[in-house]
Amino acid sequence: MKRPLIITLFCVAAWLWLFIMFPSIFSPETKKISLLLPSLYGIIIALQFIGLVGIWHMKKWGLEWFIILLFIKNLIDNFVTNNSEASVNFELPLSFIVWLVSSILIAAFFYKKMSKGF
Amino acid sequence: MKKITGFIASKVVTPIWLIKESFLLAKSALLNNKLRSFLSLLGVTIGIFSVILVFTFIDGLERSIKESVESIGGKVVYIQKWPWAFGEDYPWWKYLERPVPKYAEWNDLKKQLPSDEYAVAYSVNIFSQKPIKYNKNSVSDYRIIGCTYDFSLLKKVNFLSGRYFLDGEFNQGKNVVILGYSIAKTLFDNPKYALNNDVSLNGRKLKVIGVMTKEGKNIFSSSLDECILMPYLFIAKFFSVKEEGANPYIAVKPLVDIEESKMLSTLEIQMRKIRRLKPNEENDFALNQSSLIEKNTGSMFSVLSIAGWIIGGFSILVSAFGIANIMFVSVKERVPLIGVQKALGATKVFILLQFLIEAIILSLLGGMIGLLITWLAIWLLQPYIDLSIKLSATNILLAINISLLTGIISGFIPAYSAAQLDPVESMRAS
Repeated sequence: MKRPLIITLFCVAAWLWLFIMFPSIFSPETKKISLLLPSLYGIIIALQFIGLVGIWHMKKWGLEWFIILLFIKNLIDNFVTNNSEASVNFELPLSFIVWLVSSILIAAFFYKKMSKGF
Repeated sequence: MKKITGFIASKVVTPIWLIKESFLLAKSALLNNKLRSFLSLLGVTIGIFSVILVFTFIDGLERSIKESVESIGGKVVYIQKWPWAFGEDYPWWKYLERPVPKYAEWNDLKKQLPSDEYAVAYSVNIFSQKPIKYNKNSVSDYRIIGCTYDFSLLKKVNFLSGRYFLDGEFNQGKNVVILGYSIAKTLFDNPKYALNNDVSLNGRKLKVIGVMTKEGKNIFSSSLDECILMPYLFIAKFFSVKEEGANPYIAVKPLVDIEESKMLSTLEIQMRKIRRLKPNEENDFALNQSSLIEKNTGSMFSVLSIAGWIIGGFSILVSAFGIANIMFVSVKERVPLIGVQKALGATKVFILLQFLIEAIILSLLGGMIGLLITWLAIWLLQPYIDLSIKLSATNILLAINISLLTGIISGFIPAYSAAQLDPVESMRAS
């Protein structure tokens, strides 16, 4: 299936977002939390990039991958940055909501038209 | 049993074999095109070199500031006439009117604060031009610190030889002195010989009871190497210590875990009481926190980090495009080979891994060379700069991370396009 314009725009915007995110994962603040955290965030960003390649090629696994990784990253963010010994405060940052809503909208309109397999 | 061995073969052995084969194929492809491989990894090398060098310098600066803050006493609050930080619309003329902290005020404050919770010291700092002499040797540009007994609780005084003052020596204002390393070296050639000798200052004899270890320079010039320590009551006999030129201050350090805000409010209340300030009157003293210096420099380091990312980030970005480009060329060149591999049963994942591993190897190699050049640059620069810089494990890990991610991101699209090729069409391509 020919890639719809909306998916092209989604992928380009998401790639730009990942590009902007890239330096922040190695920021001194992240390093202070844990030495392994930048590596973990790095892997997530690389996998999200791969997921976007899948979406670009209209593959179901790409969209699934992208959404799952959004949740994983948000979960890690919440655990490492907002928690105290007493409680964990779950927050939903704006970027997470924006990307989640856009991904769900893409899934609602185009998931069935996407192809299975690698 | 057969099921278990079958499962192990398909889920463990096959992926390992796949990665190994892909690695060997990628290695031979890189070795066959040495110049091309070298040129494409050069971008990563330069990027990693710039980013890691900047970060290493930032780490060195940060460490130096931390050590310097510790040298003036971490978590210490200094009660002084002037604040360290001046905001906008600063009414400096008001501060001119303020009195300097006095010895009597230190005495009152010490009585008011619980001795098991706070260490309170009074000190004056006089930059002296009057020579301190021993035989024919003399030093004439140094700092005299006239302090009370608690000074050693605020700032760690390490001794090369001798001891710290006794309580009685402070209370009686005895003519005893502790010499900084550089001063002892100039006066006695070997600082260890200074102990129990008499030096003269302003015609008065002072007995050397201790020599401090060498501290080296720090960014606040607060090193004790070029200082002499004397009991306040002794120095008050022949120096005008009540004037502003003597830089008098009261320093307070918590001895137990006390919240900074609580400590500040306690000090403010006590000082206002001591100075008999009315409720509508403003404070006529400043509470300066050494920890604030460290906090304020944090924002400066963030800006430097961003600058480092901008410098190196563009280089890494260009190198990622370079690697992606080379990988596309590599895929294009090997289309017939991919066709044959697919016709012989190679899976999409196997083809993808071949090219992805090739890109990762290129990028990691570039990163390693970048790290090596950074280490060399640090080794060459270290003797010429007054800052201790070391290539830390964090920065090495950071370099490996960036290289790995650059390899994955730049190599995935060409590798994926190779994996999607049709075997028949590929074999037909020449």
